[in-house]
Amino acid sequence: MNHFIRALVEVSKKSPIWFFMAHQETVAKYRRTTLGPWWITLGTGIGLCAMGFIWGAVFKMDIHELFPYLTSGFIFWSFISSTLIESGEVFARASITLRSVKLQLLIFIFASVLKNLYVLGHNIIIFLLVLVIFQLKISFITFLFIPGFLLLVLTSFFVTVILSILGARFRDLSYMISSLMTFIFLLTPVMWNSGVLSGRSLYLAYLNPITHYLAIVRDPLLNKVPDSISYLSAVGISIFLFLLASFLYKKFEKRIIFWV
Amino acid sequence: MAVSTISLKNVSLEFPIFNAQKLSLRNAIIDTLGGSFTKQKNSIPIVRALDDISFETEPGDRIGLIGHNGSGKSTLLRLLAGIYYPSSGSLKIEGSISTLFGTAVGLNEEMTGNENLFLSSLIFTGNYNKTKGSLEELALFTELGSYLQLPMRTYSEGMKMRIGFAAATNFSPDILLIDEVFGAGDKNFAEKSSKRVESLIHNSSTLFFASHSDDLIKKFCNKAIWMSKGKIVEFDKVGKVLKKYNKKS
Repeated sequence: MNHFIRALVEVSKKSPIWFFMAHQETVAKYRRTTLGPWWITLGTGIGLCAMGFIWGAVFKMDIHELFPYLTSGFIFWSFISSTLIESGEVFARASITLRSVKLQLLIFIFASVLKNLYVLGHNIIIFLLVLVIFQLKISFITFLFIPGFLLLVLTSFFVTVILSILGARFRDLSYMISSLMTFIFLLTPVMWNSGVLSGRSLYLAYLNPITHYLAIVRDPLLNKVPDSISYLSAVGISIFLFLLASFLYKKFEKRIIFWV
Repeated sequence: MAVSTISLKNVSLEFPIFNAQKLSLRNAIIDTLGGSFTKQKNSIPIVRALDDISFETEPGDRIGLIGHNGSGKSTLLRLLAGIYYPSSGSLKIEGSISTLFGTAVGLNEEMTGNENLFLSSLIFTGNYNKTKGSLEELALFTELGSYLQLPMRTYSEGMKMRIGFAAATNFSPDILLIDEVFGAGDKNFAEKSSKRVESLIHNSSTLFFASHSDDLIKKFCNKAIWMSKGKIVEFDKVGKVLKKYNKKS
């Protein structure tokens, strides 16, 4: 069996360690606040309201359409962007532990993904509010969200493996990704709708992998069946990222300790 | 107690030393492109931290590691622990291993003493049920009482050390690897913690113990390895090795 998959299975059985690592880090961050992790929800909520009303007014868009679209896109974008930004420092931050105890490296990857999911969980509440307020339609199509979401989480896992290994070796990587984030945000149909594009610009939007991952989780929530192009692209990219992650893991597993 | 054996054959370990420049992407790209910094090309300094190490232990061996700072004691311990992998040679280890290298693993200032005891011990033991089951005993051992419900940022350094130490010593391995850690906190707790380490040592089948204290080495070890510049100078009965080591230095 693939070395990477074997390690994955083994570490997934050690759920208490990575579960409590992620839990402790998240809880500790908000310990001295009254609202605690609900600041995540509140922060995103305020941002989304501002964006929704201002955009709606500036571009004269229908708020009933804009809000659900913006909310569903933005909360998954946040998940994707925190995965990209934080992954590079996973091993560097764990250096004391890594040098004191023999632990599987993937434990830290699981903890990192879980931490990002924890934030996503708090943000999804905003979408549920939007769902109620704007009385969005729920049908069988909505359930297409589940496979899309699973693929997104799985892929975020592979991305975390790749970036944490590269980020341990090349310390510039995290900074480079952070500084590109606004640019990538504007290139990704979070606020704008790829439906308004045609011809060459639509082609360009489709070249952005994040477009497809957003589509397979967001479209079902808005009662729309995602494009088959998006499904095919997302599955293809995920397979590629899996192969890359397992290659890097196998090749550098034993060297990472020298980099942290 | 399981029978544990360790055998190393011609093990060497080479460290790449990445300084700030070598860890940067720019230099890696420049290196591959052969840009203006060609002087640095392929210049990642490599340290041979362990050089052609071979030895075998017998069940019940208690081995002291002696040698100057930077002689390779800690590196050898980390290699035995499985944290480092050999660059060449082979090592075979039978038996469960626990390490006592540092006592600040998984600690977070904002969390309470109890929460820190739990997570740190969980990281060391890797076993949820065992950790849950031993929490009460660990809490008693720290003697911190109701302080355990307060965030650790309110603790003194000595109190923090008690938490880290209790969590780090919550195991009973076949093979025990100790790096210098001995006695933590004030006088009273230092005695108590040395006793705890002693009982861990007595319950383990094989011990590796790196220390600069002849007394401690003599107290716990029957054999000793004298290391210098990553090589084994001498591996023999503890008295003989210490005698030669002290004569030489």
